[in-house]
Amino acid sequence: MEENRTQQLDTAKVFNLRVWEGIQYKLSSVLGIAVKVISEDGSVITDETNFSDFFRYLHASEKGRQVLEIKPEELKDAEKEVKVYAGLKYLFSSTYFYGKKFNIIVGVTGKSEKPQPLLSEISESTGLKYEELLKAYEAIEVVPDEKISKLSDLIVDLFNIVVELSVQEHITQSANKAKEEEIAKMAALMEASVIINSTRNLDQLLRIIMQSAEKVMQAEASSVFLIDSSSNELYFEMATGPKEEEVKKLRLKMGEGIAGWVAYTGESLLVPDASQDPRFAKRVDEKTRFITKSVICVPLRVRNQIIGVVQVLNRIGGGTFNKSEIKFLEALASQAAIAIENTNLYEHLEERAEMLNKELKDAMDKLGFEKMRIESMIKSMDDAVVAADREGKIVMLNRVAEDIFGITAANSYGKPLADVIKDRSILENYKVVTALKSTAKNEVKIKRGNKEHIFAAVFAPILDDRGEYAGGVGVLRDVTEIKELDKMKSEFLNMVSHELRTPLTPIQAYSELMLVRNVSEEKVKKYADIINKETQRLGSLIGDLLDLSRIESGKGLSLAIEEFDFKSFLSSVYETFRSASAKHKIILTMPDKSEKIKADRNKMIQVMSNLLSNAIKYSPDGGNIYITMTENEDRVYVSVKDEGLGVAKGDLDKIFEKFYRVENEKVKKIGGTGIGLPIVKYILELHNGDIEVISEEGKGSEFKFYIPKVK
Amino acid sequence: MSEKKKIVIADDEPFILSALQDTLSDEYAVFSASNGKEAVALVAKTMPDLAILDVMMPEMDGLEACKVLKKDSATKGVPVILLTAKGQITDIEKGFKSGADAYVVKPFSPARLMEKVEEIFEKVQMRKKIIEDKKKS
Repeated sequence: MEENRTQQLDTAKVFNLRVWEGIQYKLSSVLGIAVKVISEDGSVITDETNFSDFFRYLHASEKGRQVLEIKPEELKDAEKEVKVYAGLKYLFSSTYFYGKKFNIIVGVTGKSEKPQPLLSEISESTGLKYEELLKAYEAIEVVPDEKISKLSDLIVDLFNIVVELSVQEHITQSANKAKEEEIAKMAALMEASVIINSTRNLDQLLRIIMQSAEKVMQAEASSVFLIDSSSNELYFEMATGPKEEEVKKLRLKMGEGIAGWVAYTGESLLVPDASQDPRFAKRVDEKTRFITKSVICVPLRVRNQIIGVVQVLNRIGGGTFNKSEIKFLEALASQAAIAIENTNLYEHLEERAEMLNKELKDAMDKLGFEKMRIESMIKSMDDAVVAADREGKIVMLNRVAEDIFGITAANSYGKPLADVIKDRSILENYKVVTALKSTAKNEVKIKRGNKEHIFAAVFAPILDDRGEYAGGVGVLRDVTEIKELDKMKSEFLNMVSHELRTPLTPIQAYSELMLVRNVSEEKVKKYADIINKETQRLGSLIGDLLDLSRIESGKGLSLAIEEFDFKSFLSSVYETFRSASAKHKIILTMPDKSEKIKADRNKMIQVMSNLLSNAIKYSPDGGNIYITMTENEDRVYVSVKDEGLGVAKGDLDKIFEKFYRVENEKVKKIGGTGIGLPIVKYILELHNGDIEVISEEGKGSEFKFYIPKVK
Repeated sequence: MSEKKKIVIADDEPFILSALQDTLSDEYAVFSASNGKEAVALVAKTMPDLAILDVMMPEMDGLEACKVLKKDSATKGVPVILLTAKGQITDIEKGFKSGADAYVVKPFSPARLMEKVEEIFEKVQMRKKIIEDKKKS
């Protein structure tokens, strides 16, 4: 500041001449003395004021003025001294101001007694009239030394006051100016930060920031470089000024040029004269035909990392930038850095948002598809599916569920489960799910059509992503058929066990009696006969079971075909069964003509024995059993008819299904495996024949089969 | 032992019925029926010392026949042995619930059946004795 002020005093800009000249004039005119201020280097600050004719006359000509000039070297050591010029004695007073000396002539203290030679010399050299000069010289009023000395102190004091005031005034003025500049800079910075928050267009942003920098700093051009991290080069992100387009094509290497140096070192740089700076890259100027004079260049930092530089070029109207402007540009650069970072962030965010948006959309599409797929899967399921939300309100119901609960999805959605589904066990199941958040299973009986169906119901909680309870879903599977099959299976096993034990009982009893007791020979024969018959029965039962297992396993039955007389075959069957039951009378009717057939004899025995034992078994009260053989040209027909329990209408087409046993208390008490008739039908089909049943409940049954004749 | 004890037997299988008959008839007087209904009637008529009933019979099965006999005050004193091919626990339970005194599983050993029959008669004898003793005191 001190230095600055001196510099400014040196240029004499500080000194308020107008004020001083006014004072000087007043002093001269009132006191009749000469006053003049000369600076140390000899330059005249204020001209001499003297109202004597002599000075006036001399001043009138150019050469006359030269006479009055004072040589600087003569003033060197003067502090307060008397010197003689142009035959006149002057008192010189010096004053120091901020280290500089000012010489002030204060008055004329004496005249020469003999001025003629001097005056004629002046007249000769100046061309001024000698008489005039002499006359004026003689008229000069001399102020006594003592008086002058006092006057000089006063004048010096006055000068000092004026100078001091001038300096103060100057300081105030420059402070105001600085303040104004500061305000302009602040305004520029404010503007920059406002812009940063109002626009996301980076180029526009930087342009506005740099334009305000140019305006405040009175620069010709400015530019923003960014570092391309891939090539480690600087490129012009933005450039203002007349050569903008050319400039933008250029790139600088890291460390190249002033911008490169600043980017490399990270230090701000003020270059007063670019042409004198070895760092300056001339090629940019050459390419753009721009002449770079002075430069301020500062780094652009984002989170302590240098991402580029900002530079301002050439003060308009010449001159250089000053150091205080570095700070301003640095502040502006940090605003620009924020702008760049914001924009990058914003762009990054935008990209990210776009990406997320796309991902979300994809996910939604996928979800939508998945949802549709799952929904259609659930809809077309054979199982009933019903789902409810946290509050127990129905949110989903598939077709089977609609059917079994007798409701429609449209009418049920949003309604509490309890309002729509009447089955208590389902509701209780659901309560378990809601209360314990765990799976609940049970069996539910629901009427479907006329028949009661059994459903295996499973209710499970629906948990959301966080594992929290979000509702429940129930799946009901119709297990009626499986249950029936299961029941049939266990009944079959029971029946088989019973059927096997039945012949086994007499066998064991009689064989033991024969062994343990002392039985008569007659009894032995009877016992052995019974054992034999029951063994045969057991054998045929086991045969049936083996046949069934062969049929079941897909191996099928093999036939041992032979040609035999069917009439005599039937007769022998009749003989075997005739005495099987005391309560039943078997009546055989056959045509006269004997017919030969080709068949498996043993299998045909199996057929007949099955039909006949059934006829006996299912007419527990006894009665007649008719075996009737008829024929046509191609087929032999056999009918086995009893007068027993008969078959209910609903069971007629099922009795040939394996394991099927009629659901009738009376019939159930009669043993049977449910495999006889299926095997009979199978055997007859193997022979290209078939079997049918004609029956009415309570009125006996007639089983009628045929096999082809031999051709 | 002047008179033979009477036993009613019932089974729908003729050979089982005859096996029972042949097992028991040396020691006891045996009356046979081929279903539950017949058995109940025969018990009421002959008032035997024991009834051996097959479980699975047409018309009326052994369990039902047993229940009927045990309900009737006239016949409820007749001990009943149920005879069945089924040996499952549930069947045995059902048998005892119907009031049966013993259970014999088919196929049976004649010696075992005899033992069972004698066992039942001993029990009946014991019960009678206890009742008589009580009356005396």
